[in-house]
Amino acid sequence: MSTRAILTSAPPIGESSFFTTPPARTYWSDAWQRLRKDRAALCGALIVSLLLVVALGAPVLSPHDPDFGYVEGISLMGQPLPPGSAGPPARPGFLLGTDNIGRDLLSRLIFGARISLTIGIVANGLAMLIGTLVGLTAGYFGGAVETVLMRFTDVLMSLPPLLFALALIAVFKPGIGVVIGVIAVIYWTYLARIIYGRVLSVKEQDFVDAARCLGATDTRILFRYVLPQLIGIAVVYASLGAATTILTEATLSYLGIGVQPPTASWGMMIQEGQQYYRTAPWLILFPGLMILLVVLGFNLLGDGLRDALDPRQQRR
Amino acid sequence: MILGVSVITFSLTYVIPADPALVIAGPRATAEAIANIRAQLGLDRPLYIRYGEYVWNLLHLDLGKSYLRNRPVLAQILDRFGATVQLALACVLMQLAIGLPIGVVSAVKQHSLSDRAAMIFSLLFLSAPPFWLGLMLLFLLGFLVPIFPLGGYGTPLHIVLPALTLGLSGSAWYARMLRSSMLEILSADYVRTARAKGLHEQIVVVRHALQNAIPPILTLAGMDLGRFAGGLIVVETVFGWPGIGQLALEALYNFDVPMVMGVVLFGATLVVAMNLIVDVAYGFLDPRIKYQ
Repeated sequence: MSTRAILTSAPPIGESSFFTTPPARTYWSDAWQRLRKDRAALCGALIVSLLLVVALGAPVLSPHDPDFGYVEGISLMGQPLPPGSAGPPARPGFLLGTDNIGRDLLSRLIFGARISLTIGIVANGLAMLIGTLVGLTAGYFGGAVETVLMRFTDVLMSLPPLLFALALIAVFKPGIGVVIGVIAVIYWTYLARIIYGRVLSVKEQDFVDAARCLGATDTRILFRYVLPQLIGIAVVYASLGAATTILTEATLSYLGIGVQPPTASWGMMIQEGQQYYRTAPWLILFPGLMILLVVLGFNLLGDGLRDALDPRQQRR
Repeated sequence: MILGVSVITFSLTYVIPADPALVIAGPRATAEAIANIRAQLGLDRPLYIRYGEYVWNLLHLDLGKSYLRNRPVLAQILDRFGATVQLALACVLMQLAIGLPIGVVSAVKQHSLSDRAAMIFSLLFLSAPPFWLGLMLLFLLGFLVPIFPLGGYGTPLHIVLPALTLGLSGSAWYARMLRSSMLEILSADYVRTARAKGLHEQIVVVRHALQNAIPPILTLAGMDLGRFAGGLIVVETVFGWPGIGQLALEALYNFDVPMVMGVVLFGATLVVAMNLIVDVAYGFLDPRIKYQ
């Protein structure tokens, strides 16, 4: 044992008892301590978990069938009902009003949470998976692999995201599956770039050399030694990416090239409601607020996670 | 870079769809008619020859013909490009007009009430979907308090709401970026020196700090200008602005693949070109950065 090791293993001066050692401080426990003190981040976490509960419990929570148009849900003039209107006989009222074909807005909002979170988890998860794998491979192996993969990433990144989505959707038929795929294809490049940058510095570190000297295979080094170093940054971008991807789905659905009717998606609900904006502004107000809320939640959480997990990137 | 994008647009146009001839001919065409169209479009020749031809045409500024109108794609884009450029410029200016004052104030009065309020507002506008923001502005300032027209194109009044929409959501980036670079500069030694020699605080903030924080902001503005000019799909749709974003979307609704790809290629070219210009201009704005 070197002198340095002995010195560092000695208990710090000022410790109450010579025999008790302070609880081990790991990267994750430190990050947790930082996150716990961050009120904005906790707010974001609360919003996200509430919406998760709403999405999972949608059939129980929603007062009406989201896709059923009630005859009682339209006024005699054929207009949507305002918030707080009475419901059909012996059923709950229309708390947030109805849309142009008599569907309960609140129920549609609740079911819309499912689409948004599906995008935030599945599409974003897919993008992260591809991004991590490409970044890892390009960064670790270098050479021709690096050149090909990173050039390809650069090319995709030079396409403005929404135009790129348009190009892909022009070829495939819109629908939830295609939306997930398109979003994953557009957004994996951002994480790939970041992971690639990190791998370049991680792979030069001593413990990677040590593992290699001990005869570890490339796969083992990558997944056992390099990947764990990247989990923090991946978690941060998972949250920020969820915000971006959810916003993109809402935009595509608003443009009529995302999720298709009758599935309730917040973006599409705004598109359906916008022609009634003079008489029924709640049809665009509430779905928009929901999108704002979920995106805000993931953004707050992501910013907090960045401060907690990636202290090198100081925010002031 | 553009070559790479052209590979993507080419393969999306001609390789991935089952058969463009089928799309053009429609569902009830005879096999003979389909074969005719295929020959006409040269679809029966090998891929690499067709790609070579595609690039050759691109170099001669020929983006092909749209399926829908049988007019050259580029001519249609250029017809609409002016409207998009106007809007893009207005949006960037609006972002600067809103973002810069917020950034300066929050940096100078760090941790103050106005700093916190500004940062919360910027996060809110950053999280709001732009199309919804646009509709809300239309409702509030076009319908409830009818100051501005309800969408359309023509007078200077028409441009205010669309520009404000993107100005509000985009200014958050400018405010945040300016704030953090100003904070960094305000704690630098030469700022302390300037204060120590008794300069007026206003001069310190504007001449010493702001002037040095501006180049990265202009970089962002330049890149945004390229991005916006490449197609403001959402804002143009909300406000019925006749730009190239609308053109692409209309083409998409009508399955006019070459038209969509034309706009995509055009937009990507603008983005790449603008980034290049910004890189070069940066050297002039900030002489500390020199290219070897």
